[in-house]
Amino acid sequence: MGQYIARRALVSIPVLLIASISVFAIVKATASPVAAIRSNPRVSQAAIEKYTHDLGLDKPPPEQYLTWLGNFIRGKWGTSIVTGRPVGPDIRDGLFNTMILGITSFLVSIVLGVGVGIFSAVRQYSFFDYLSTGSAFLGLSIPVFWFALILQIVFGLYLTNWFHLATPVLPTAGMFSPGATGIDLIDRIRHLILPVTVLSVQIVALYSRYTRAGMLDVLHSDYLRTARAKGLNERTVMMRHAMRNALTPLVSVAAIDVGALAGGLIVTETIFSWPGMGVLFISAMENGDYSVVLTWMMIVVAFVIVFNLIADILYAVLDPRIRYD
Amino acid sequence: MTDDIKSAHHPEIGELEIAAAELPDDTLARMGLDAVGASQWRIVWRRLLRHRLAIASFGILVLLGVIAVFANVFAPHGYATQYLSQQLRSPGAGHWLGTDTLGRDELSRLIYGGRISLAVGFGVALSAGVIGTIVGSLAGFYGGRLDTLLMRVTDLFLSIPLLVILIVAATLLGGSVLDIVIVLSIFFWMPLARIVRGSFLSLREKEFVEAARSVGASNFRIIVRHMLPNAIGPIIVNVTLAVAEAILIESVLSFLGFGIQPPTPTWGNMLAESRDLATTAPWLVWFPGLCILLTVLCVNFLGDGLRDAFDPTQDLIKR
Repeated sequence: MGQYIARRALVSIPVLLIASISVFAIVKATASPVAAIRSNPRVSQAAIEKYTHDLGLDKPPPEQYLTWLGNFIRGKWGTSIVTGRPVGPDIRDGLFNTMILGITSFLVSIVLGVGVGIFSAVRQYSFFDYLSTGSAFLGLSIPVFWFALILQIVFGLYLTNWFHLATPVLPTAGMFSPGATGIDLIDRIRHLILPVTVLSVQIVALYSRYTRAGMLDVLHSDYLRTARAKGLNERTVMMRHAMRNALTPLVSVAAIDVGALAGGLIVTETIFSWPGMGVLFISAMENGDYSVVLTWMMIVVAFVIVFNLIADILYAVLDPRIRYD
Repeated sequence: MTDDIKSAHHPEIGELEIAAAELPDDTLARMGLDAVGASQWRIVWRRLLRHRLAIASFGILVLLGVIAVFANVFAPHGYATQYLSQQLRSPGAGHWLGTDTLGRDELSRLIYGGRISLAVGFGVALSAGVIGTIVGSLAGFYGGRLDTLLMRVTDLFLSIPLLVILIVAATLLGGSVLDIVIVLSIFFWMPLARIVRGSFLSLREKEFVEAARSVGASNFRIIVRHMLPNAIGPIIVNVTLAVAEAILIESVLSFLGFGIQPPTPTWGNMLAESRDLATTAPWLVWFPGLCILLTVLCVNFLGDGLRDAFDPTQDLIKR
């Protein structure tokens, strides 16, 4: 097992390197760090050339790549051409805010998705099963950004109008109320409700399907019959024997999904003005902010690769039937 | 042509006929296989017809398609015609679905926008389907370097979130309808190629491929006449589902401002324009979204029905 983990981890290193080359090439093709000052008529040609030289842009691309990679690993992520501030703190704040939103939605979704999935598998073809299957279909077909907009209208407009309220039932944008000082937990949670709902609908739909399929696979297996024949009560049979095996595939799916959170909430964050990685990326793309885009993409890709590694290792640990030699 | 597909799909078709005589009368009928003499397509069609939700969805999609193709006939106004005295009218007589900030008729814009959104969906699914099938079958049939390359490239792109890479690619190429179709196609063929590769890897070992080779069939003939018809089910299902995915992704891209640029209307950029008006003109948010939802839902139901229709192990009546 230890050998498998070590080998699997080593494979990730070339993957990361190739990914970093692609990211570097892609971003270089889209955004130029001197584009912004070049379009400024008051900056002289000599100044542009000096700036280009300072950034090392007159060197051949492979050398530029190596310089960038060295700086990236040492945490020198450059400065934003729009704000003039170093990239590091912005990315760190964005990542932190995204993770607050992402992890909350993820926890809510795991609990709901697994619960719904198990219940509809145990009561297969019941009314609840059909209802959850139908809702999952709807949940996967509904455009996320439209669902978010509808929630904003319902909570920001309709409910206030119908009940003649002075303020909206739930805040429809931002992370906390403007002018708030310190951390007001209730206020934070109220701001989380709508974006978490939007994100969870899809994940719950997906996870309940996985769980249901996994449970149906094991429900008719011989070892469950053996467990019942031993006289164990139904609860133990379900919790200790069925669920353990049914949820193994879900664990690795979930690990991969956590890795995807870093760059995966672009739409929801944009609509709810949540100051996370997604909002950071969109504004950097709109402004051609070279260093931010480059660092952002590399961090996101690293997250995905590392969590894929974790998913593979978890799978190997959890499922002893799988041998890797 | 039909003979060829039939013999490829059911190498023992004669035996099946003999075996059929010994089964209870309605067994094959219940499986949709009673049409032993009919072609594969006929069997699939008959099985699909039993899937009412899929057929209803197919009907709605055809209807939407006809409205989109003949948009200039069905749309009461032009998509760019501005009625400046009638800005932000709520739905009612004159403008059934209301007007937007510039006084443009929402219904007409939905119809013309549907034309673009559907064109992008079908264009992407078709081109991705063709590229994915070609690359996937070559990689699965020949293996070797092409196969390794395909797997590594898809692995690489799986590590960057799809939306991120699409935003970057769309910035590079531009915001016309063709640009967006190209950008989406580039990233949509890869999953399909992997699926086709998978089925070709297992088909390669089948006896009928060996039989074809033993009578001297060329590789091209084996791929096109013998292996492809056996892999066509998953291809059609995935191409169908890709239509829904492409429509959704296009609308998200356009919503974020990186997709198809105004004044060309699509359901996505109509929603983008409605965003700031959500509280003053909520109908501008409701209708484009409902159009996307309806289309995507129908495509998904149709894909589901096709999946069942192509699956010979499904007993369609006993559900």
